[in-house]
Amino acid sequence: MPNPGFLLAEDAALKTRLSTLSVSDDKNAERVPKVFYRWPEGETEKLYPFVTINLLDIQHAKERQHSERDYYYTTDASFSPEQVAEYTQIDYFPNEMVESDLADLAGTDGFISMEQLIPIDLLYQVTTHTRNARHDRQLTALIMRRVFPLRRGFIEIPEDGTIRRCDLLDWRSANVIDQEAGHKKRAFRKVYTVRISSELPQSDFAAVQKVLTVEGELTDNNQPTDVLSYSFSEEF
Amino acid sequence: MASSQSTPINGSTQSLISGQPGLLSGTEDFIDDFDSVFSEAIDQTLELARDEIRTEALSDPAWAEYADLLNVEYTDGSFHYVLVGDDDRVQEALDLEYGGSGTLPRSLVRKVANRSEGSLGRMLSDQVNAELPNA
Repeated sequence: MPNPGFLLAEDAALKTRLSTLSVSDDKNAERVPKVFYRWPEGETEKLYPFVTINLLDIQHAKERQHSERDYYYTTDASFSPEQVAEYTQIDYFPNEMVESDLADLAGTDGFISMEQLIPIDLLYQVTTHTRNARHDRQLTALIMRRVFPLRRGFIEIPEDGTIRRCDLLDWRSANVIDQEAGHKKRAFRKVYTVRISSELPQSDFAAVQKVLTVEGELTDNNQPTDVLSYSFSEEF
Repeated sequence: MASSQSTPINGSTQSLISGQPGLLSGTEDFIDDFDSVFSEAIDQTLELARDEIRTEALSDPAWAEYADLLNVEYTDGSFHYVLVGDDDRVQEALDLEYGGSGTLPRSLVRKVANRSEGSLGRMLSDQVNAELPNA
């Protein structure tokens, strides 16, 4: 099920990515850890292992902010493919629309435009919780290899068809004696801090009207009285 | 017993100190100048960064009592945010940062570290440039 919207799309993508994990032991060849947003408070008897996702922070990624400009998208059939490529400067709407949605919005021969996007960094904490030290190791191995590979971390956001950066910033062991189990059991916890790049739109898409006629006259700036060309009207 | 735990989120200054091969071809005097200015700039940057994170901690009721543990170190060409102090208090602060058994994380160090990843390097460059405009 798609989850369009800022944060909703990233949360869902992260959950999807983490839902592919599994661990094994003598009793069960495939245990699939459940993934929860925040701490699963409703679960009285937790089924280990499990994974939690916490959103820690939303920051304006100023180092990625470009100067102000507008973005355009066109479906104008009168343009050559080269012109379409030149005039189309964006083919998605962050977290909400893929290119086919933009084409629907623009309609036949349409030209739509929106303002500059605001680059955002989302800081997430992903924590694995296990009762078994081997499960803990298996999850670390899987996550470092498959989920948050160093240097090449990425995450796909199907809601807008983009592939974002997903960088592992920090790994920390945070094993605890489980308070909820009366301090009698250990919980092996590994904490991953990841940064996912995102964008916030400053405006919605708006239709751009095509220029139909240009009317005016040309004058010499140095000699304003010297009219070079009298009133003209050019239709396109 | 005092302990030091570092979070490996860095504001890198790698490019500043290893970027230009021609940088070291100047006179020895210039290099001596640069070394002293550079180490002074690092000290100033560390002080500013430490003040910044402690101020932020003091404005958060949960973090206020751990503000004195928060420090910034410069090692191996990178800045590191660290917690320095009594082991038990450091552990309490870490539980706050990463969440404890059944408690949610209330991140402060990682938020500040992520935000200042670029700004620490820039702050350092600015201070070096101010002293040695031709460097």
